[in-house]
Amino acid sequence: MIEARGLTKKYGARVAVDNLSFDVQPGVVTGFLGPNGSGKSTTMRLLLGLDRPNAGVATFDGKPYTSYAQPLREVGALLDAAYLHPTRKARAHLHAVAASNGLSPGRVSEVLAMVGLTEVAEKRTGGFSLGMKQRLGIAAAMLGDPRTLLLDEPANGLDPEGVRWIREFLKHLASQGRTVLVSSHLLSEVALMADRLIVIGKGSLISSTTVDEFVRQFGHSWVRVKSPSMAALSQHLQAMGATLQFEDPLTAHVYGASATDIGTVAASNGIVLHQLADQTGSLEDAYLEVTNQTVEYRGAPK
Amino acid sequence: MIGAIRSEWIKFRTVRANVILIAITLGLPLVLSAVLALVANNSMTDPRNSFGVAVIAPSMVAVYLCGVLGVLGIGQEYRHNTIRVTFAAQPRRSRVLAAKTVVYGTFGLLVGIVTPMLCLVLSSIIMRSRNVPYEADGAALIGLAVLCLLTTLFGFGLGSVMRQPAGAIPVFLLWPLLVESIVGAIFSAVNEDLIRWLPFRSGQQLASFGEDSMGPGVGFSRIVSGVYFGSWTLALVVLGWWLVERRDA
Ligand SMILES: Nc1ncnc2c1ncn2[C@@H]1O[C@H](COP(=O)(O)OP(=O)(O)O)[C@@H](O)[C@H]1O
Ligand SMILES: [Mg+2]
Repeated sequence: MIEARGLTKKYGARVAVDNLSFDVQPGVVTGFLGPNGSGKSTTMRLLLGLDRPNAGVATFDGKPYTSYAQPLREVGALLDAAYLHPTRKARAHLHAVAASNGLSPGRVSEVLAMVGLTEVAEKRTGGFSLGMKQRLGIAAAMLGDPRTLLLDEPANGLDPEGVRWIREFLKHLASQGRTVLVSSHLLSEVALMADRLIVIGKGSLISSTTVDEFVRQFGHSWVRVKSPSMAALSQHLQAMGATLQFEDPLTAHVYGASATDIGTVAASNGIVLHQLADQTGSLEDAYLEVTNQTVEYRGAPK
Repeated sequence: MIGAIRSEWIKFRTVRANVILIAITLGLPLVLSAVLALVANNSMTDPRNSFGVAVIAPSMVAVYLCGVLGVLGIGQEYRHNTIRVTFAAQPRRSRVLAAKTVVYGTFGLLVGIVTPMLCLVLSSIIMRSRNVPYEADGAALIGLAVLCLLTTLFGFGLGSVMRQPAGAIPVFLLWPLLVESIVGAIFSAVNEDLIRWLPFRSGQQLASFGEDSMGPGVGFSRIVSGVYFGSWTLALVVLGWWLVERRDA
């Protein structure tokens, strides 16, 4: 369980994170979503006490990160896969991290195997692909077998198979009751692995809900109806309070009425239907819409 | 704390630049010592001078290389952003800094003891075979060990303050080699007594030998100049510590 309260971070005059509060629940994957530059990475650094906040606090299971003497046993984090010394070997990197929290070299071998890097353990990380570095970062995060995981854009640079691997891995960890917070600037990516979403724009919270609720709240759904008797049908539907948008005289997008309602009205009035199809605006559209609103709202003169 | 020290020790010896620098730090003074012992002049009036030339002078190379390693000890972490991995694993930053101080300080002290000893053994064999008069100076040997420790920590403190090695290493090397030479030349034209206030000039008094024991123009005794250079080192380490604690990682 992560609790953030009123986190605020300014870099000079620029407000990177603005009075941000949210909870991250255990047992599910929570997506941390926002466009590039919206403050996701800064928030992660604030959670871990790496950047000093201008205001606000964050706790992990009730205690601030900095109060843990061996935090890797509680919280594992992958901030940026590039945070490696290029001439240090993968195993040595993990050894150093493990030693700082009293974790054994045996555990290093375990996490290397877990992410499939055993064969390159004795290679310098400077020659690693981005995908290999991401795996090494995940191995480091898993060293202390933590109850909470923070991952900043872990799917970046992975091939489709790697992305699927990460997705299954994180879902598996959440199903064990762990708290998993994973950021992304791509809704399509995070929607596939997350159950809940924390959406931010320009450093402020936009929404903290389930993925389904987010779609309902911000996505549009309508029913595409084709009928040879569209004129008659449209009168009945408008009487029910629905609104119609015509593609052509015989095809309409119906808002505010379900496919069941429309089918029932048509049947009881003897109207033939050639198509009755639920349509959902993509999650991506919904996301772009809300984050763009934030951008516009923010850009307006005060 | 043991874990933090072990972690820093692993980091210290698993980076290629460090491995190369450590090899040079240990090897180059021996080569220089052998060469200087081979060319040492038979007519040197004070036998402590041949000791200084063949033992202390080559060891000074190791002293400065230890300082460079000290700069890199923290600078590399900022350069490659591994400082964020380090402080995420140990959010009590003072523990990390204490562990680095222990690891680099120990290394600096050991080099300061071992390098002149090896140079002494090597050059004494060579010079004795050439019948060059020769006399070791115990105070200079102890002073050099202290100087090596302090210089390593001086580099570490400077690295903590400046963070980027690309800036900190030139500052560390040019300060004694260029800035203090120029300022020293000006001082000696104005008033020789001012030279004692140059930190590295004063620090070198720790390892002074032979006739120049007090060094021309540097008025502090061995111990006082050591305390003076040590104060500079302490000030830099404390300033770096304070900055690292309050800055974003
Ligand atoms: N260390 C820093 N110094 C100055 N500005 C920064 C720093 N880190 C981030 N920013 C700024 O803060 C904002 C948020 O950045 P970031 O947290 O990296 O966003 P995201 O991870 O969502 O892409 C951006 O405008 C970025 O330029
Ligand atoms: Mg980011």
